[in-house]
Amino acid sequence: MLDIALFLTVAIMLAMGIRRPFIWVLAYLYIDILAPQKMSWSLLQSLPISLIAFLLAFAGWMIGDTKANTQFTVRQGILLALLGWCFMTLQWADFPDSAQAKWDWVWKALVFGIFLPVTLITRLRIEVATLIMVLTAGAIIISAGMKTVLGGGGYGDLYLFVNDNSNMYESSTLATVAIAIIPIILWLAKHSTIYPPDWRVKTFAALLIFACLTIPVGTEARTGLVCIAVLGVLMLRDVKKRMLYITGAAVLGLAALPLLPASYYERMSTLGSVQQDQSASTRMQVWGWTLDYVSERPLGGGFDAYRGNSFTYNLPVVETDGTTTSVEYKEITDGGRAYHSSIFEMLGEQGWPGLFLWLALHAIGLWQMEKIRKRWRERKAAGEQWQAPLASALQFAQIVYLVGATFQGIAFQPFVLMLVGLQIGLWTYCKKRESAKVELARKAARDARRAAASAKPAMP
Amino acid sequence: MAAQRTDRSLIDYIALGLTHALIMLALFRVLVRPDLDREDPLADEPETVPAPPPSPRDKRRARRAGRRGDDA
Repeated sequence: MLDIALFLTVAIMLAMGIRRPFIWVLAYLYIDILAPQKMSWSLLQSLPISLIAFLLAFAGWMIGDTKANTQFTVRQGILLALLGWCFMTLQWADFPDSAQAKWDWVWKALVFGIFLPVTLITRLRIEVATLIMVLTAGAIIISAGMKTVLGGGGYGDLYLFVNDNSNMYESSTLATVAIAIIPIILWLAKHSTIYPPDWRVKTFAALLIFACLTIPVGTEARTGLVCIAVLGVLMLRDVKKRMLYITGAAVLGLAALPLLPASYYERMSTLGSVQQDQSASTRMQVWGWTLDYVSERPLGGGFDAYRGNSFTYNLPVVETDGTTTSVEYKEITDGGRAYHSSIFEMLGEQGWPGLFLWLALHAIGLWQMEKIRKRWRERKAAGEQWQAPLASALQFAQIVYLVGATFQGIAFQPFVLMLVGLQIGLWTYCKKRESAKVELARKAARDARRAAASAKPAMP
Repeated sequence: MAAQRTDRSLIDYIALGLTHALIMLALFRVLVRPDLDREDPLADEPETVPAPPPSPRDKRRARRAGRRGDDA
């Protein structure tokens, strides 16, 4: 049943693309985020639907779209340079087999990040791409949220559609992405023209945001809690009634406390005590190891270079027996520990050039979104109300991601590269609109000058 | 355990059903909209954009041109 339904969804999407080729781009977004081929066990699994959608999306753009105004931006250049650099490091990778396995999905995510913006030539395209990304991620989030509320969570225990820790289905990644899309959901609920804001849209958006907030609880991903706090502070910038917002957030937070499971408190309480926590302690060790590693190999060791690490350390174990508390040091040897940070992931795998490119990609994105927000927020025309809030939402989503990425190795997360693609698309769209306006004003001034010059001599 | 398993599947079906219905409806809505593929970059602007006020240089030129016209 599920098999047929998913197959039909993909088939209808691909069929719609015959009439409107841009829908193939949307089909790729849907397939890459949800991975329906992994959920089904016969029809879709036997077909390389992700590749088919990718090729169709590209072919549709080549055949159907006008390319007269296609622009290649700095950030697309950075993505292209990153793609080329990753291919270079692949050649000298410490672990060629696992490096190849990571390259197989990284290159697709990077190429799509470069390609997506050139297709986003209208407002509706930007909007529908955003909507499909949110709704597709929403499928995973709603299911995980409902299970959390009904008591089926726990770190690594939450049963998702696909349980192979790939892409969005890794619990900490899901928690970060779920919090990152909250500002985008708010934007859609207010500015969508596909689902114009009414009580149904607002109710769905509110419930979806609630589901997003439950993901860090359900997955017990500590990073998610930090992301919520960061987003809470960020949103203070744009809310109109700040006191009401602060009071509401405090009341909601306090109301949620008794509903949280005990295991969640236990896990969150380790946030402040780095020394007693093996996960955090290992992180510090891996980061130190990475710095040593790049001092010898500044160009990086290729994908999955972390597999070469190994270290022994003493971890304090606190035992409480009645009234006495004793601390014992346990020797632990660890090897092949992942980076648990995108910054160190980039540094260890792609060296200083890779880290520089990655940081530049995100820094320029934050700056560009800020620029759009400032330039467009005072505009009054009916068609100029959505750009500044979208830039703000995409900027917040990126900041939440960057906070989450500091503690997770998700530098090439495909969903985030799609968000980067959306940012580039919005930037190009706003630039084109501005230059069209400037051009029109210039033309009008020129015409007025000519008219004045030619009219005067004819006067008696 | 079996009952819990069924609940989980049911939740999956609800989440997938709801979001897929919304995705398909959104796609059907955009399928018939002409502004999906092209839009006028100045569509929301007033029909005629007022020309910016002439600069002092333009004013001087216009005056000079006018004087020449009078002389002739």
